[in-house]
Amino acid sequence: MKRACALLLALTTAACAAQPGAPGEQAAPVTAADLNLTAREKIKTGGTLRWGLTEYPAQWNQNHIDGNHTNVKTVMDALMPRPFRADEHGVPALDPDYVAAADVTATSPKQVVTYTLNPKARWSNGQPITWADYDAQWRALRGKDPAFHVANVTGYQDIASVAKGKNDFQVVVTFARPFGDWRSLFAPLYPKSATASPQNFNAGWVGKIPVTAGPFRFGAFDTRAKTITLNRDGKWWGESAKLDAIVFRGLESDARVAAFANGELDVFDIGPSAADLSRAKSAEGAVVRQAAGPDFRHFTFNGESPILSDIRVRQAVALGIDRAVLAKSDLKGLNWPVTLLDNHFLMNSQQGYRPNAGELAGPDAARAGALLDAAGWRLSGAVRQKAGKQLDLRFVIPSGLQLARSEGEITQAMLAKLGIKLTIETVPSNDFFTKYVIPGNYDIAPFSYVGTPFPVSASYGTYADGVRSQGDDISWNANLGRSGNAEIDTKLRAAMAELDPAKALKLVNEADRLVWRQVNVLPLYQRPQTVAVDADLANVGARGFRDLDYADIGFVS
Amino acid sequence: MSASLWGRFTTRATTGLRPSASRFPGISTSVGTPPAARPRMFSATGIAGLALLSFLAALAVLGPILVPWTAADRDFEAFLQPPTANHPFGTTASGGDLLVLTLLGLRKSLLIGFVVAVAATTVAALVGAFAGYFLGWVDRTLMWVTDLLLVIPAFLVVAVVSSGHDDWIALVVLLTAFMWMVTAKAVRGATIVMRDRDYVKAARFMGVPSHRIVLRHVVPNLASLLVADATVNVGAAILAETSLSYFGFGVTPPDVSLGSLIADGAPTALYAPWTFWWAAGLLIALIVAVNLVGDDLRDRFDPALRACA
Repeated sequence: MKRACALLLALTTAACAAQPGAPGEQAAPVTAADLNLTAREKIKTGGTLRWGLTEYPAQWNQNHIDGNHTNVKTVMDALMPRPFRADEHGVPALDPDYVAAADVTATSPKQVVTYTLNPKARWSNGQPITWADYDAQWRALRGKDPAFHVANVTGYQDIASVAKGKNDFQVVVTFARPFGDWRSLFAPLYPKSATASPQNFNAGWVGKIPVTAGPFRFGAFDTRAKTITLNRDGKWWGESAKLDAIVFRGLESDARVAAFANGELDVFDIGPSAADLSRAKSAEGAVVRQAAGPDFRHFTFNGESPILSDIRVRQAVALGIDRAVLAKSDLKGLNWPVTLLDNHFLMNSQQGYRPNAGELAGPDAARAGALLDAAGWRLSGAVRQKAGKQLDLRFVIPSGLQLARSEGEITQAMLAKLGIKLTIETVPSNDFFTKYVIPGNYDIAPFSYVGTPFPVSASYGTYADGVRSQGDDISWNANLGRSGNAEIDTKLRAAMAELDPAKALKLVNEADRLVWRQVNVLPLYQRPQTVAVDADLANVGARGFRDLDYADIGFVS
Repeated sequence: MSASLWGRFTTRATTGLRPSASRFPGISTSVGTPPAARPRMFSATGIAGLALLSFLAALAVLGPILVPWTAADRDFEAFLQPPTANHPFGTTASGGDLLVLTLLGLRKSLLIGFVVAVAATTVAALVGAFAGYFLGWVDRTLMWVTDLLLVIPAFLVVAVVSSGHDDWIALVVLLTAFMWMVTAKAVRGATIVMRDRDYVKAARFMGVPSHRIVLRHVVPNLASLLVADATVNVGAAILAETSLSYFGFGVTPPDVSLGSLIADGAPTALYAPWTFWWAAGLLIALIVAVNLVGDDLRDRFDPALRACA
């Protein structure tokens, strides 16, 4: 499961594309972030924040395949540099603590991006942050050397060269092909010492954090208590951190809510559990902050399964599913409005979101029935048949996940009305991705994808058409739904190469309309992010797409 | 008495083993002078147990027919809803009616419990009587198998083997296979004493075939022991089935049993108590009823225990 998660994160947290959207384009009306944003002067200096994590990570190199986790990001965001920070709508803005300017300085013959670094920025070992760090990171992450176990190569593989500008603090990045999401690159940036050799890249950050460059510096690990302590960095050149220290602690999910109720934690992510939400809410001095999360729930349809390879059947199933009912059941008790997600690339809370479901928004039993009849599946008795075969679909779910099972049971009842039999197949959760979803051994599978501020480059692989290798063998790579077409690919590539964010968003939405018709992934809803926090805390909570500024987190005076 | 029974139950439910057969010390006298059991009315607790058991059985058989919902129905207007007029037991997270699910679970658990108990007692009676009557190599072979099965960690074996089968019949066979041994040893002991009784000798001298003597004369005379033991086994079998189902090894969806319902409801037991307590309560009531009847039957048939009581 861990590896599968890492893989999915890898599939989705990749690089670049849409930026400040066209004026007048409004994101859908859902809360994009709930952080108790408070001005710095109202926050007292001092205090220790205790933050609950879902596990205790070992690999602290976020660009490593094993370090590409939410938990690692939560910690490293306080420590490592990044040129851009996203706001809650996923719009990136320059972080002047690290980079004074970053612009596309040429588009022909090749795209060139020039970064002007903040010369005051220094690593904790005293060395300045220079173009050499950018160069080393590109060389490690471009995917040429398989000895670097990288999480993803998106964007880095499109770079032709990284060169020194007029001095050490200017970086000139030349792209081999246009890459619209270039703002996603070098986030986070690791020092040259971490990326120069595969040895250091793979093993240098396991169980240690040797170098940092943020408002906090590394304090201590306690492997027995599963904690990691960060202290305020006195050498930080920006506005100094309000908190004295942050203690992150890895705990099992049951233990987290208990620890929070006991006053042993100040912040933790509740997840989609109504029971934990009600318990956290009733804890003394606690508030629950909720916002639209960066991830969405969906059903993936296997376009290579014997029955679903017929696109008419996929469309009929999509039309037979009332997504609002599924969302209502999933979100029951989470105090979150049922808002359907009608876009594969942009979340409801994201800049540029447009509903693109069109006539496949469903439910439409009459049309679904007509499509099935046309495909040759005729009603005889309770279940439709074709050539003596029953219309029986496998809904594969990981064991122990109540949410997926109840989605299956509800879908079963819905599709039964259309004469489609749905068989729920529970498989060990460790095998769910590796033995079922990735090899295409399923008909329909429910899971979540993580959205990023850079939607196209991040999810291009999920919808890209398969590559015909030897003979009839098609390799689908990250396209777990195993269906696609050249038209979608063309549009997505155009969106990825588009440097004007507004035009890129337009192309993304055009591609999305095509993806809807393909019925590869059926999006259900954007998941809420539910975070329990101490009521006195400011500038922390449900962050949505926003990159938190850890220096501003603190207790209100 | 009841405390020790629970203790024994727990042991059997989780391992399939019974510590010893020493609870039949006076068995020879009881079976030696048929009919040993005087006609005696059920005790008050026995009657209460029988009434409760009959009520639960009637509920399990008739209930699902009377409830307007079926196990596959989902009420899209009511997810995880507390009890209402429409759903007297409340609903699950996917809008399933807990009343019909609980009654179906009760039906499946009762069915498995009874079938396993009857089958296990039958096997025990045959193995024990043949081993005890023939002695010699028959006895050694059968007792070797019995001892072997006694030392196998039954719960683990059943868990591993049954996870490959979706069929509840397979579960019944597996549970039976690990539940007959202790009774078989008791039956063997009683048979060894019985084979020297006059009526058995008489039958033998008249030339009645041995297997016929075992089936016609020995086993019927052990009826009291067997009936009492079968009843106690019902409780053990139900607990074994629910424990396995709780861990996901026994009854698998779309079938439900009390064990699988308890497993589904456990995470929300505090937040949505109705998902947990109906199934848990019915399981407790069922086990109490079976035990009351079983205790009473044993008290009636087993003079040694009655003397102690």
